[in-house]
Amino acid sequence: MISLNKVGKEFRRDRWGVKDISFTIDKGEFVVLTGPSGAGKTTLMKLLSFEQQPSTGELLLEGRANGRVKKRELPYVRRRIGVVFQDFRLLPDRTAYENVAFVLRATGAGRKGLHRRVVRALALVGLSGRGDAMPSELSGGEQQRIGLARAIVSDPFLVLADEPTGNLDDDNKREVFKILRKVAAGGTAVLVATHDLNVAREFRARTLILDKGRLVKDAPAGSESEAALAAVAPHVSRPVRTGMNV
Amino acid sequence: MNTFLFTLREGVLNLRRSPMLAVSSVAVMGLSLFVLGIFLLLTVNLRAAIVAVQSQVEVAVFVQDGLRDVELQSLDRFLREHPGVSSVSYLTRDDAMARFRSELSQKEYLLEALEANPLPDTFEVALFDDWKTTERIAEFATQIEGMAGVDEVKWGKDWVGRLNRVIVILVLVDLFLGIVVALSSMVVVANTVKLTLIARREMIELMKMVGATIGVIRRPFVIEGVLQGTVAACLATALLVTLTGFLQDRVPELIELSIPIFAIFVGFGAFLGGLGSVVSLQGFLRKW
Repeated sequence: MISLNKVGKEFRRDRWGVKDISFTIDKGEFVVLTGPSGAGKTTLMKLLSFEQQPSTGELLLEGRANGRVKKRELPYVRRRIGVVFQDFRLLPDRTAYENVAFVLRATGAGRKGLHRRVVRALALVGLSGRGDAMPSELSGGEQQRIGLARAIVSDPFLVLADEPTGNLDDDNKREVFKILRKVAAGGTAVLVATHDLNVAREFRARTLILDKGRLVKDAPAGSESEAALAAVAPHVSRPVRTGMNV
Repeated sequence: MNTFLFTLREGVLNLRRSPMLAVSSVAVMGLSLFVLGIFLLLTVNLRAAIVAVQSQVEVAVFVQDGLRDVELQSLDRFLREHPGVSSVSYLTRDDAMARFRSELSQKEYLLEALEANPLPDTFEVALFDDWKTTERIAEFATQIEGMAGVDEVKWGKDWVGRLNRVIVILVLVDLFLGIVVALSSMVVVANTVKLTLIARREMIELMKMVGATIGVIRRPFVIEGVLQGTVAACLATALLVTLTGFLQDRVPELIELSIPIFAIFVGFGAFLGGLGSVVSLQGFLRKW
């Protein structure tokens, strides 16, 4: 279980990235995290991935507290977290298969079972036949699915995806969300930070809404949260016009 | 063990993935090591020159006229048994005159005015190197001068003192240059390795995120650095051998670097490459 109790991150004096955040995520839960730009989504993701330590409060992942884990033990905590990036971050010099296997090799997982695990991860993202392809030969959607396979190949407790669909078209967005929900169904906790509420809403996931560093809404799965979303953070539920992002 | 093959493979692959970077790193390291090698060559030759000059320091013990055999023998025994003496040769006045004559060669007529041989019998005493300081030779000379049958003890008093001062200065300058050259090659290597690391930042970040330990992240780079350092040192060795051959055609006395020195040199190159990686990585991994 992941639990946050009044977690805050202060960057400079009185400049808080996030403040007073409390929630828990259970094994197998599929959770969407949203909010306007600058609401603190990325900060929260970095706290959850143990990249940054909270300034206040307590963040526990499987009983281990962020900030009190010894530097030496940090790698072992990170092995319990799979991370999916907006920009995929595949290593361009090796095949899709090797990109997925990289995680297992770098963490010293035994050679026994390595192939089976990689094949299973590739199958889960629907790319069984593309293992030999180099990243440059894959479409954006396919690259991100390799990124997903890489995040889950080590059977993590938690998968964190920060804007995993930011660079994808609608069909591919849907595909990525489908896979993430499938991963959650397999017992992994999944947290997706996204702007793509239109797609996210289709999946009727539990939704956490951040605004100005605060958790303003925790809408349970399957709830009709649209009205609440519009009320609390109107700028979130409105489709973002691409022209405004430039 | 599971990660060992992985890191070895990644280290070798690193070199293949960006050959231009690898080539330029090796070139820069090789040139730094070459400069270091030139310095070593100078040092070896400087030392040889010092030893050659020092070996010429000798003490001449002039013996009084008409000394009895017994006294001569006891003097001889004393000199040979002295801890500072490496060799003793006895030169009779006739031998000394013969040598003097041959040294004068064409100008033998100068000796025609002599009615008798004015030269004394002489012990020529060579000392061990650690006895060749001004103080110790002076002490030795005073001791011998006080002995029965000794007329006079001669040694290049001013000359030895000056030589020793020059040697001290040369050794200090040499040491200083050595430190400067070694440090600068380390800085150059560390900076070169840093370029490699910047090119691989994504991979380092990724390894960190997936939970690789610091050791596993570091090892491919250390292996890469060691390989580059070794190749660079071999290149520098080839350059040095060529340079030495070229110089020896002109200065035959030049001493080349010995194989053990080259072995240490190559080992140092490997160490430098590895150390460069470790030092440069430290900055990258600090923000863990």
